[in-house]
Amino acid sequence: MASKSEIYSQGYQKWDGDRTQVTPPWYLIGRAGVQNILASTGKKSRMFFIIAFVIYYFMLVASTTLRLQIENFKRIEWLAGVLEAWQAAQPAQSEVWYHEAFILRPAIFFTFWTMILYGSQLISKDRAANALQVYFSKAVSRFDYLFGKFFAVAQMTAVVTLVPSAIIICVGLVATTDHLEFIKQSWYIPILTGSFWLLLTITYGSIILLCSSLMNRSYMAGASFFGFAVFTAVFPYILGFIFGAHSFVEGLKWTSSIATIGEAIYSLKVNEAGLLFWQVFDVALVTGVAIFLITRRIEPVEVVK
Amino acid sequence: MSAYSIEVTNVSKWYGDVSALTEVSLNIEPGILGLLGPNGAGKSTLLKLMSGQLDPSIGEINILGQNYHNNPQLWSKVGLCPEQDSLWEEFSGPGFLSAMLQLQGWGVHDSDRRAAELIGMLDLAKAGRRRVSGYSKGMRQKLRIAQSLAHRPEVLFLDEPMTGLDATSRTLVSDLIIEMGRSGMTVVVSSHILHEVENITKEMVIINQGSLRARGNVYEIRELLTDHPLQLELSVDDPRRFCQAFLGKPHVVKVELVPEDPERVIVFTQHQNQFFQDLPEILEDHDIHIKSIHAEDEDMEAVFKYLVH
Repeated sequence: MASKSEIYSQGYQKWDGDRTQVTPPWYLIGRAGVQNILASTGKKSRMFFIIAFVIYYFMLVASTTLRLQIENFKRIEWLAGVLEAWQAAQPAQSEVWYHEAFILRPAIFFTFWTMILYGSQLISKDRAANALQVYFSKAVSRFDYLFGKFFAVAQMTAVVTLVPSAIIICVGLVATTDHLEFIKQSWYIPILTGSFWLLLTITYGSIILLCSSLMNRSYMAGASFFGFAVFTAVFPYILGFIFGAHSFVEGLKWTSSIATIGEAIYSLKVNEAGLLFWQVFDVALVTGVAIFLITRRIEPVEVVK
Repeated sequence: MSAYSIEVTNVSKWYGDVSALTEVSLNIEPGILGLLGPNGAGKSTLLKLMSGQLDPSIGEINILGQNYHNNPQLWSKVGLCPEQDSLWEEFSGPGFLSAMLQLQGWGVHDSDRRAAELIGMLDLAKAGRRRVSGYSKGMRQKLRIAQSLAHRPEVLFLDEPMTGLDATSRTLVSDLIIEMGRSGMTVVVSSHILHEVENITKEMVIINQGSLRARGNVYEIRELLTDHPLQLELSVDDPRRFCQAFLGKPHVVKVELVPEDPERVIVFTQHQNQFFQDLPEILEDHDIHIKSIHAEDEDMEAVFKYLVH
């Protein structure tokens, strides 16, 4: 038990002067969000994800090595037949195609489920614990809070975009003899992957954070996000049936629009300019509305009228 | 700069059609101020307004001469211990405090050191690195208090700070609050339990039904309650003579004999000081001996009851 004199000896001095922020609040909030999720995740669930990612990353390393060293691997007698069949099945593709094939689809799949399982906890847990009141009694602005939460989402999406891309490039550098040629072919890929990472973070992040800000229970937030994805997949069909086909309606297919925008980023070309325009417009509109609604929801005290 | 740390000017707050506070004006100087009122009186709303958690519907609130609006730096000088549970369940106690300090602009090393200091000060060291979710109610309350004062704020708002604390912890926290008040901080303590606040400060504001009812020292407030004369219960050897001697005095409203106890008499007076000035002379002139004297309704409980009901 601490004695009275102990308190007095600590000296409760008054603070004087200006204090400069050492670490940006949004960084702390984002880090705390991920820390909280990791700490609250059960061992089994954590192991499942770790194993899934280890397998995915291992496959990336193996397939990248195989692709770049295929001629050497063909010298292995029992492997030669399989490799020749594999090579025949896929025409020679550029590095960017390889990134698109091995990152884009898995990233969308993993991001979708990561958002449901973990992203859904980001604001709902704070709301359930009344932590918003504590956050906003510190030198934390709403922008810091929201940006911090997006930073937490960005950390999650980086695991499925930036990390695999870095693995492919690093393995590529190790597995090729002509490093200069490899760099010439792939120098711009990190920029494309970075853009795709931002796309996933902002679009998926805004919807999951909105769902999370609307619910105090994370499983409800996750279910709402799932419901949103299903709704935006089905609703455009109904609209198309009633009003006829239009690119604006097609663009409302949220997940497929994001995938198409991702494909456009990686392929650096536009197949259907009109459709892509409406897809970008619709996704931007939904994201903008979601962010606006989140800012209305992050209040330190919930006022029940 | 104003001498007041907190300036509340004509503040009203409505939740939809419901009025929670009506035209409250209050200036608070450094020191400890108790904010008292029954449940639903509006004290939590006032505290949330003063601590920037809510915006007033009308009126103005200045803290240290500044407004909260677009002024995150002001938060570095303010601390809030909310009434509701508001901790990061998955963090350890020291980890939580350190993170809170970093949010207030402290460096990692300083935050860790200060967190360890507070954990020791508030007797939470035995929990070690255990997660907050495993803390008892009292430990959680102490951690909430610790996060509010960790960054050494100039203005501190404590909403029901003694909730869930055992007797030893109450003493510990009371001593800490008193020390902070002495050091020149402005501490506003909200509570609906009178003796909790009475142990910490004599300076208080009483609020009920959304408006301020009284402000000041409990004895000063008592003096102002002219509708409720102060009741003094005395035990004297000759109550009848005592009654006769006092009945003519202008400050004495009435004197009652207690049938159950032949030595007891109750004096109702508007001016306590005048009564005590007259008392020695009357006792001497009438040869009355006094055995005991006790103010029946001079305490906070009585003042509160008269003001609130």
